[in-house]
Amino acid sequence: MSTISKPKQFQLPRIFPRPKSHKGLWYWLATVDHKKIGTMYGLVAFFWFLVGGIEALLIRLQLGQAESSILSPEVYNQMFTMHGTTMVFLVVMPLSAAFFNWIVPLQIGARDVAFPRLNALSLWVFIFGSILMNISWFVGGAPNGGWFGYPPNSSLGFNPGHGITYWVMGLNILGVASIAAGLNFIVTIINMRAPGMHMMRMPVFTWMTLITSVLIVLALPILAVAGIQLTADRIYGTNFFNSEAGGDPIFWQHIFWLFGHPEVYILILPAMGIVSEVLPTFSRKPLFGYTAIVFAGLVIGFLGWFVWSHHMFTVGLGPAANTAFTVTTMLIAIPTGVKIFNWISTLWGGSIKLNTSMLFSIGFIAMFTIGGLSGVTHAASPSDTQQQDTYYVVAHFHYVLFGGSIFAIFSGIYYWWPKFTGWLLDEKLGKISFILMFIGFNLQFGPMHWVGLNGMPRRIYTYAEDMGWEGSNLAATIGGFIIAVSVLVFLANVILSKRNKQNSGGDPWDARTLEWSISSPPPHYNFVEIPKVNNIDDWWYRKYPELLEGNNQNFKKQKIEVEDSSNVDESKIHLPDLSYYPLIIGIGLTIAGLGVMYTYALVAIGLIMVFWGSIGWSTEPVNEDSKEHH
Amino acid sequence: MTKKKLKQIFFPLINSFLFIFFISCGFGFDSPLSTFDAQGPVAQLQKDLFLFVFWLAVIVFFLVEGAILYASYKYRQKDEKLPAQIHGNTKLELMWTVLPSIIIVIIAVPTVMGIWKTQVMPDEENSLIVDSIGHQWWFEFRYPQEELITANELHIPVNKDVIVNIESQDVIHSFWIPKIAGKIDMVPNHQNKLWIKADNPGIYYGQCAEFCGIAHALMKFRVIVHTKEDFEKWKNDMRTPPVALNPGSEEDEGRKLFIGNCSMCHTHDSYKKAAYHKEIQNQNIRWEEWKKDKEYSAIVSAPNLTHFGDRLTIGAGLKENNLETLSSWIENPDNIKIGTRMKNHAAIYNSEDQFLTSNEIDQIAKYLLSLKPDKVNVITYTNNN
Repeated sequence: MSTISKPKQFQLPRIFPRPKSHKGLWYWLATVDHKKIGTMYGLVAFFWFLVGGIEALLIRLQLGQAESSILSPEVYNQMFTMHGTTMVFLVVMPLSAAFFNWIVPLQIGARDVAFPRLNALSLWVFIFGSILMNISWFVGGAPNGGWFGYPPNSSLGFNPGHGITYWVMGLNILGVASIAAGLNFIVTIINMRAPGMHMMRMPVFTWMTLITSVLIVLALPILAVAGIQLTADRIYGTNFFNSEAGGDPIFWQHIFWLFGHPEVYILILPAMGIVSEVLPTFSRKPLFGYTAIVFAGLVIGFLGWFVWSHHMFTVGLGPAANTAFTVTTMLIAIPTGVKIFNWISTLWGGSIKLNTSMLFSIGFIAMFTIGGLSGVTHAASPSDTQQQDTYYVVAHFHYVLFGGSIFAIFSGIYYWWPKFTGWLLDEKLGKISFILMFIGFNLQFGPMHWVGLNGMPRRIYTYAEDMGWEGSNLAATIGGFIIAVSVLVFLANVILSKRNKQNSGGDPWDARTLEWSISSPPPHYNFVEIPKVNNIDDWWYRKYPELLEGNNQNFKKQKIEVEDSSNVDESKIHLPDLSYYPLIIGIGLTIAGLGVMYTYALVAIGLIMVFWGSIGWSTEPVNEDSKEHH
Repeated sequence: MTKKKLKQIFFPLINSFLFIFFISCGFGFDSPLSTFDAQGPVAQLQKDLFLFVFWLAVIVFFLVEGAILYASYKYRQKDEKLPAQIHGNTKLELMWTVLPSIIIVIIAVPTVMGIWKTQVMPDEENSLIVDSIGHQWWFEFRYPQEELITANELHIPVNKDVIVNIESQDVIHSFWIPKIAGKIDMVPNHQNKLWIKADNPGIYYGQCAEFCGIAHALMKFRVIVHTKEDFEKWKNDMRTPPVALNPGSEEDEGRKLFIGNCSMCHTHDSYKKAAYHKEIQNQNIRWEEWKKDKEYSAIVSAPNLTHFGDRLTIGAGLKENNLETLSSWIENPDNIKIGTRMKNHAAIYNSEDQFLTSNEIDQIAKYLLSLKPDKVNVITYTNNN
């Protein structure tokens, strides 16, 4: 339409043609569609969930009875290190990212995220970083220093070999992915909301994504600093943490936990967001105390920065520091309590539909409460000196991260699955998998409270028969395998439901937020028309306009259909073309990371790829010429 | 949803809770490392605080979980009608912000008092002072006031304040005697202090509680709490030479083998005058040597073996100390504990011409078991576990 032609821009000569087709492998490798990227995040993270789960099962097998020798001590140490690292960085974070990608643009009425190619970069860096970390299994042993990697045990002097170096390089690379994604979602949420969607009209899941993204952008660089220092200690002979040469191992603990505690909220806030979507939908009434829940999330995100030393109550920081961190830690119970009470009040007086997604969300509140309460016993630091580094702590954080995050993620999977695919998951199998997971989870982690108070330390590969720990450990191992069966039932559910597809339509749950106002799966441009937002839960009030007039009874649902995208002139919708440069940068970064450990030639190759990708990326037009002049 | 379906969902949940409850109760808190069998004022305070918070948490637990179950059952979907659309209630929300705050204050007061009570050290002059040094994977104990040194078995008198100065030589360990006091980390380049006091004589279990490498699970120690008189006797014993050996006896042969093969790293004569400072110096030299050549250094830090025959356990609290276990250890430490520097550095395992015969192993074990103070004071060990 415009007749003014742009001046010719420099463009890096292409080695491969820019993919155009929206089908096939090339499309998936070069896609910048937030939904496709979300799908890939989800699939890859779910693969690592299975891997981390198998690692957990092997740990449980080893501990199922006293003095067993299924795993050697060395392999056991690698197993718990990789289980923790995998579940935190390769499972819960990217699964949350999968939901961010899929849902946030739909919830705010946008066509994509703010920086679609940066989004693709995050995905590829995550995928290759996760592979890099796991290559270590095959080249001389996986990392064995725990997910917290305390030096000097993780220093070269006590831990020669590449294991820990793979771990720290992997974290460095994954950090790039997370920070880029965090920035992307902050900009997206701030700038790309549909007209009328004020901050206080945003769905709570989007709010929690925003808070999480801010935490990611602030916390991950701290880990990057620690990671670079440890890398330098291990490869270039510096002595930041090397106590043999006078370095300070406590320094590591401070920076690791200064990252590590906000990280805990990075893992749980998205889960809280999911639950805050599911509960009102299936109670058929609004979220109780929307403002309080949003502010409680903000307060948690803020206070999360002042509690890191509660991971270090036994380090010997002195009574003054312990007092300060005890008090700040206890404060977090208050906003957390507000959320829990508001969720219960959302259920209260509702018309509750107990389907699989809802059961997982209710399970989340029930289990997360237990984790929160055991957390208060930790905050009481004199009592914590008895529990620190025992199985009581293992029980506590699995109630938060499994009973919390993973339950909520499953709730989210069942909730948004019809939006992802256009068909429903089977409810019967879903409920079976929920019940199995609920029983297995409590059987695995419930007794750990007892065995921890009974003195069983963490990270021990064996224990003697006369310690009185066998019963609880056997129960835990059985519980672990029940969880495994539940995950298999879920996988069977996906396969069987795919076979006899039950069409879901665009809005199967009579839900509240904008993502349900369009067809399922959504067209690649999401909204035919960018919606105008007048309310929180705008889609709900479009269906039930009488509610706005205070009429609660005897009214009819407005006949309103989800957006029809069958007869749309797509040429009027602007979306960026595909780009393979993010993939190239992701591969290059990983090769460079490997090279740091082995040879500078690889670093050179990797950096050339990163450079090539960056220049190509920054000079390629968003759309090829044919589309330039709309 | 029908009642039948509800039964299918809720009853398994309740059953699983009960099942776990019974399982867990059935096993009790009978471990020698149980935090519930407090045997000193520090552990007692920590246990009382835990139980205080625990019972408050139990009340909250039943309120919250009860509300969840009640609401999910009572308000299950019965028809297609929309329920009352309630957006919030400021009064209620204020209430559940304020109420938890009050509970937090109620918990914080005894907590903070507990921190200062347990972490401010008692008067040094009236306390026994012990230096404990963590090593991969054993504990060293020094008594600077008494100039005594030993390993893996900490002897203290009953009802007396003990200040343990805590440090580590290599990686981070953690010093933990659950029945007497909560743990504190042993950190290289940092000195920590722990106040302990035991109410009753007896034998207590200690355990390393910070992941410290391959043998972390096997790094334990014992605490032997004596009556006041027995503790005096023990101190005297530690200054008394061992029983003289008949020349030519198996033990005497063992002595020669020990001197030739083991004594570079294992001091076993710290009963002598001025031996204390020399041993500290030697441990430092051994450490420096190991740092220089972690794979092949000829000497490494090792537990002091003075009056080893009186020790209750071998391998840092792992096995009962007797001829069988000891021979098995000397034959190959891996039999009992993986990863020891003894196995990796001692010539008797690493250069073929110095391998020991089983007879020689037996002789060394017998010699070590003969290492007891000459004028034996009878000390009665009461085992509380």
